Amino acid sequence: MNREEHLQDWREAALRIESEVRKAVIGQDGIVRLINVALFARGHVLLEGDVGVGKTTVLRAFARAIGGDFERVEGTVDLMPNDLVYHTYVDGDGKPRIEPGPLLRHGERLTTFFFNEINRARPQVQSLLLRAMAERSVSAFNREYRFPHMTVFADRNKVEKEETFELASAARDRFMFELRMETPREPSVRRALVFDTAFHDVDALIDTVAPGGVDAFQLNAIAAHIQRSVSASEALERYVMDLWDASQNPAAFDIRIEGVDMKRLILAGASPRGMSAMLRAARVVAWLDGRTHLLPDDVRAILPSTLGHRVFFTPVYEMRRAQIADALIAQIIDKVATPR
Amino acid sequence: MKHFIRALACAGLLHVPLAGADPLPATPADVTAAPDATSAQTETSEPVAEPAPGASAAPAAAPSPPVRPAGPVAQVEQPRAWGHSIGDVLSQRVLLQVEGRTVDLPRLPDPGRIGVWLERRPARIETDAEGRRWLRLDYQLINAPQALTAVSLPALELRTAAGILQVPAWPVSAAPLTPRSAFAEGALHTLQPDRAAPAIDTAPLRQQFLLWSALCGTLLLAWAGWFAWRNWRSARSLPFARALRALRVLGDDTPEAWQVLHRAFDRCAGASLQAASLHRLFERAPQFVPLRADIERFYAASAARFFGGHAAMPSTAAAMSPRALAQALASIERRHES
Repeated sequence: MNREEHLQDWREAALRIESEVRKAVIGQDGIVRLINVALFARGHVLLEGDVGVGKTTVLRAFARAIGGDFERVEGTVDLMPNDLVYHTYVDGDGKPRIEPGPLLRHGERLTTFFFNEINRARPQVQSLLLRAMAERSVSAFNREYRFPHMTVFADRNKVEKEETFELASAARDRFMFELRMETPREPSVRRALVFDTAFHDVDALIDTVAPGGVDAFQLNAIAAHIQRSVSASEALERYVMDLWDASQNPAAFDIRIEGVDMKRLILAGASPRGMSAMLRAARVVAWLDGRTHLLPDDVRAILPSTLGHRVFFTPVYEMRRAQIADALIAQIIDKVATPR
Repeated sequence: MKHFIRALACAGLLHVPLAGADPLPATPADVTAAPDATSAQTETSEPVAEPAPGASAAPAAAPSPPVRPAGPVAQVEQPRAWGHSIGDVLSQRVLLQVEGRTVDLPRLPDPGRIGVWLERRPARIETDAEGRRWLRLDYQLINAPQALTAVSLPALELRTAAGILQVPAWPVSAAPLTPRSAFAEGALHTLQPDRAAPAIDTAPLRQQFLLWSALCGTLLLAWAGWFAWRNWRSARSLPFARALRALRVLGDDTPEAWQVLHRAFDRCAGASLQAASLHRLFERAPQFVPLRADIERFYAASAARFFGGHAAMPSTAAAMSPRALAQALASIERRHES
């Protein structure tokens, strides 16, 4: 079987995963597609949304569809880094015991690590997680534990702000996507979510997802293969460079937002890590579309999710981040021209 | 002047003072004869009664009295005998009765020239209020004598079903347009020119004409200026007109040509467009919807050219060239603008 046939088979597997997840999660096709992209681009995802919109359900559905081990941690203000690595207890014989914590428990079989309400965890916990995300390894018990197949999904409740610790910019930068999950607006979907009994029992719902759509332990190899097979032309490279410049100096691209002094808006534009994550994701979008070359539309499809949380505003505008970031990304898409 | 000469002529003919009451009757009403029942010739004849032009030059020659022809003479209403000049039409009416009975006239006298002085117009038959039938003959005086001259309406013999009707000659006087020498004394030797017509003051008219011409000219100039300015502005501000200008100096196959057209699309839609966002162009400029297929082909070809690598290049051939597409778009754009 040659390379192209492999790519084609994996593509079908990826689309199958998507359709399986859509059985359990309706009205969130865009989110499902982007999480799938992140999986095949080997990126981590931060989900933000209202309470009860189905964040956990969508992640559980993905975890089941791709197979491998799933671990979940609830972020609380008293959670300490050690709680992720090990926990101690006294066994029935009265002896103190130390067991691996949720991060180490599954060893290399860990594929999906779901950190619920990450903004409730202390910065020390976030730091540990950052290393686990960036290097897919932690040091404990005088040795290094590796989880090469792990994808971190974190969830942030945007309703409550008390007793929360906002993620540092470095932490946000490590997430490939920051996705905003909203309550579906389509009336038929809303009605089904409320009245269709199939959506009332989440466990039964997750069971409808066919497991093992793709070998989770092959994802790294598949992702590397995809990255190698999708090419970017010179014109596209210029386009991405322009996007990067626009994220750092929007005024140069005639980008204007009402009520915002564009020269004082940006504290830091997208990082090189952010731009490379964007390109990785764009390549996966092209591959899912059956192409071996990148189009500007591939980049635009993931731009709001990759760039929105990577541009940092000066403090005076940071409080209006959600509103300004959306407008800024929309303007960057509209104003940066290609081919050039 | 004409009335003056006519009055002179009449005075000479009638030997009455000019400054008297008008001696001219208003209507021709001379009835010359009663019908005679004798049989006569059977042909219509036109005896030459007119004098030769040379002979008629004799000044103030008195006309000979009407010659009474032998045979039945028709009752004729003659025109006035005096006071005629060139151009006058003399009407003669002949009662078509023989022995008190109305008769038919199978053949009317022919129209045409009668000698030097007269021309007969086409004759016609008239019926009066009493039911009598008349032959109407109109003669026009077509020459002007140099002196007062007697001219005769020709005698006629009218062949009717009931016999011949004689119409005798009828002399009339014809006056010259002007005497050769009216007074021959003092400064009255020669004809004086007509009095010059009084000149109307045209200065205000001319002034108004100039004013309105100037206004009209200014208006036309302003309109032409506006038209030229609008075209000039359109060529610089309308996206596809601008693109077309730029494309005139670029080869169709150069990347710059494609990029120029891309920028025109972007300006038109107000955003950087790609194939997936083309709907924004048609929402904002629905006038381009008829070219949707061509525009989509252009974007597909452009994507193959700039992003797709060389393998996808053949699809470029199916699309319109940038210049042709820009031309079609600019023409729609211009129509929409006006």
